[in-house]
Amino acid sequence: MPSVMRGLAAVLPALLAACAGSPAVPPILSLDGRPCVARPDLAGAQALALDAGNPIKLDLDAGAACLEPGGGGRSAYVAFRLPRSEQPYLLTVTSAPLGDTLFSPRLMLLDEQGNVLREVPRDEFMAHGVALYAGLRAAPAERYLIVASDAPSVGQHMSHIIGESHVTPVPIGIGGVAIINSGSEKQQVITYAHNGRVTVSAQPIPKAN
Amino acid sequence: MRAFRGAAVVIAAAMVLVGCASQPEIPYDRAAKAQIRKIGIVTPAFPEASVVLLNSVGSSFGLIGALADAGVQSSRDTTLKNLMQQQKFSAPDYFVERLNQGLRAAGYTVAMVPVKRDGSDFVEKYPSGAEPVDAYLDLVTMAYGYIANGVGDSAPYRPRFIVRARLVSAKDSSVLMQDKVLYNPLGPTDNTVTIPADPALQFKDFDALAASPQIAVKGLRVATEQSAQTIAKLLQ
Repeated sequence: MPSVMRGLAAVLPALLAACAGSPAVPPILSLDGRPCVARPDLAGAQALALDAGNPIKLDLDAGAACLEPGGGGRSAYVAFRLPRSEQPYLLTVTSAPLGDTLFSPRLMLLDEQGNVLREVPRDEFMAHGVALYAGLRAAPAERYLIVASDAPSVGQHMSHIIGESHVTPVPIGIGGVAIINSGSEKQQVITYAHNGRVTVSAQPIPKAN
Repeated sequence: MRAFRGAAVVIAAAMVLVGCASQPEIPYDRAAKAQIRKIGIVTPAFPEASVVLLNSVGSSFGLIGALADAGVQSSRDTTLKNLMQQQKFSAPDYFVERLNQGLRAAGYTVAMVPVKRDGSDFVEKYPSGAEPVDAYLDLVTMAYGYIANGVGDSAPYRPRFIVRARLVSAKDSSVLMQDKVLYNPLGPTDNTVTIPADPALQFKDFDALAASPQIAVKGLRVATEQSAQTIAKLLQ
């Protein structure tokens, strides 16, 4: 085997591993049996900085807190303490897939006393490829963010087309290699769930251009 | 020469796409919404319709391959344009029509603001026309047409539509919203609202597309309409 081919053979698995998607995580479709609270616990809220370079990325899993308001369904949730700011700022929440599992998000914005000032339902999230994204202008009075799962949509499926590019080394002559590009598609079926990966960030509202 | 020009266009388009990838998304300032009753749609920027084949065999063979690809693309672009003319479909007209309808459904009054554009970026200064508006909706369509991710059954041709949108206050020129909308995402989707393509409107290869002009144009209609509706949704 020519040395170039041996080199490619050695490097290819590492490259493929680097390009592989996030690890497979089974979807959590029910919160039955989990202890739940009627109001979100704000004492343990994670502090979010007003800094685009410091987003908080976390995985909601079987240990996530559970919210069950009177007359409402159960939701997994996480609370964030929002930064102090005299001006409105950009608050973004992204739910990205873990394997084929996607946290189905909705948001609540609370004041200092924990009263709900605003809600962002699941259908106001926009698709960013396979991920779901919400960007909003947070007001100074909004002091806490609750990212909660949207129980009605949990268990639903969504099919996505994923484009893939392939690079195939083909030996030509003695020691020569031609790189052949090709492309294909695959279907990814996503399941909306009570678990998944969420990234939250706060930053000054960007200037256009 | 024609193929070389085609290659240059492809390279320039790729640079434009890369350059715009990092533009920030600015969510609609809903606090200002009460003051925004009348939106002026600035004449949108629209390129020619195009047919793009990603990961072609030619892309494996350097400049010669790129020139060969550009020749094929130029021919297909022409075929698509002829096909649209035969079906009496104008993407710019249909886009404005559907956007107008979406904005009215969202409670706005809509006016057209004619502008002669210079280049393919947002307008720098909006005209103070005879009909006053509260905000200008500036739209730059970056590409539309058909795209395939490769050759063969596993990478069919589907419609695509890419548009940047910006809402600017007429009162103080502040940017009230800015985003990018992409119908049929195949690659990176940073800072972009995406719309999945309708799997019922696809073609196994370009010959099949050219042989079904009505369905081909239907695909473009769907892509154009859903992109317009998404922009209207961003302003709700």
